[in-house]
Amino acid sequence: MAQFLNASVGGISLGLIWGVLAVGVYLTYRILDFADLTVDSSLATGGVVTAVLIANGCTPILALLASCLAGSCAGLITALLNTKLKIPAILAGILTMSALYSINLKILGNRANVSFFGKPTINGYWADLFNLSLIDDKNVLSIITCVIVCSAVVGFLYWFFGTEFGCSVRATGFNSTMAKAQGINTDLTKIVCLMISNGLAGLAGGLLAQHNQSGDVNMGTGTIVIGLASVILAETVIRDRFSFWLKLALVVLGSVAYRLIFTFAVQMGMHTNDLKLVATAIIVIALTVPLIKKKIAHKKLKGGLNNVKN
Amino acid sequence: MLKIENLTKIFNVGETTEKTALNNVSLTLEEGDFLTIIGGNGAGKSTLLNCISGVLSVDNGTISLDGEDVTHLAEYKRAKYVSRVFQNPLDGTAGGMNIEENLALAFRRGKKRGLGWGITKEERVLFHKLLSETGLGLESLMAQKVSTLSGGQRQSLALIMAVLVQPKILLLDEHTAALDPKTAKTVLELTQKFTKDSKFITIMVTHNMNDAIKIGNKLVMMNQGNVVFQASGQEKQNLKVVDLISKFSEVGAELNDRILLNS
Repeated sequence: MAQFLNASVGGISLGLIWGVLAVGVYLTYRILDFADLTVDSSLATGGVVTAVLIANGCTPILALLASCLAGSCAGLITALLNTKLKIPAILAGILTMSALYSINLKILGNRANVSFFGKPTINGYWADLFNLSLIDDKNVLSIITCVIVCSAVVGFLYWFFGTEFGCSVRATGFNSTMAKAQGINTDLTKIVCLMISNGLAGLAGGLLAQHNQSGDVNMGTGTIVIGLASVILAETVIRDRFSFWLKLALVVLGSVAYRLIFTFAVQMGMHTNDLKLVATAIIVIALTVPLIKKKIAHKKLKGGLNNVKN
Repeated sequence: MLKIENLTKIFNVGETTEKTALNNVSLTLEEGDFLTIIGGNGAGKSTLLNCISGVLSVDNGTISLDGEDVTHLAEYKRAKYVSRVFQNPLDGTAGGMNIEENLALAFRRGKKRGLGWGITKEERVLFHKLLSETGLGLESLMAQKVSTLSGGQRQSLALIMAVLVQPKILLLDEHTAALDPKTAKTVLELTQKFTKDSKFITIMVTHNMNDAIKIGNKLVMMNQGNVVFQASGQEKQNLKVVDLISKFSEVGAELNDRILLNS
């Protein structure tokens, strides 16, 4: 039991880190209606930027900001490929993702990973502040960091999407024909939304690198699946009437739920090699729940009608 | 003043499917004009509207508005002067946003969209007042998602949004064609109410020849990318549907059932 609880704390800390990414995926996938695959590499970009910067003596917070900015640049490339060169959304994302792999290796100085054990991390701030051990309480420290970061991200997005420009981003996602007819520069709204989304992916990469105290060129592999799974899990409880900040918070919790399901599966004796299989199963189940609900409701209705007949 | 000179639009240039959608079309409209356009399928009516709004680039000719050449002005920039209501009621509004948010978007047409609030308290009061005046009951639904409205309500909202900020040109592309007859009548009445004594130019494409004669002060008949008949003022008011049908026959236009049934 103690082991399970311990593992759960690990799951929650990772879930919160990936929650930042999930919110980014929610912005493109749900609000802009743009299937963006760039995150698979922009998360790694964020991770390697933080790793290289911290290894070279940069302060942890500055490294996070740089990661966020680097991710934004990746989003900008995808957005420009799509809006200016008219390359379809999915292909634009794949192209950037592929190109970024080489860029990420270059950032790492043509190595596959860079570690920075012993260098200061953002989690180290809290360790000093609360007198905790950076090694024993690693997950707890990471949770403190991520709760602050996630709150700031949700707060920022809640404000942003309430502004004139934020509203025009939403309008672009709902109906780009209408948006253009209302004088909205839909190229610009797409560019900004993709930059924010990938900025969040970069930020998540930076947090992950600080958590692991290393940055790896492969740390983003499968990111899009994790992001989508978190969003879809969250959407099983999100209702239309919910306030926007609550929706975003639930997306973060969706990511935590996703990690906890994994933790549980591994604790039950599943091999970590099978995790991708579980991930796919989670997505498929979450996606079919509404369909099954509908079927059950339909059956009930039919049963009711039969009773009336009898 | 809207001045269209020698406007030509050719689709699929150089291919076997090449089609001249607009062939040297010239039109001049003054402030306050209400033009109705009729024509069969493929006559170039919608293409003309799409060229005016900037959705389509033109192959030849110029479009100028109050002396300013807008031929190559981007669609979203042209929206400052040109507002539109589409045939499909789903196209003119954002279904996932509520009525007041849609109105707030329309309220900023032609203005810079910055980081101020997307909708202010004063605007809510203003929108409530404006909606009450239309007598459609939309003011009690301001916080409802537009996707929950009926097609007629959505189209009425789209129309209100199109004139919320005075355009220089209002384009109506068969905006009542997808509605049932009763709703179509309501939307058309609303159109007449908004355009009465207006300073802007209105161009309405319609399949209904009665409406085309009854509404507005100018009429244009198009066929295969050409303007084949024009009437204005008293001459237009005196037209009969049979006159228009015989004009269509003269130019050899094929009239589809929809036009005949609506007449």
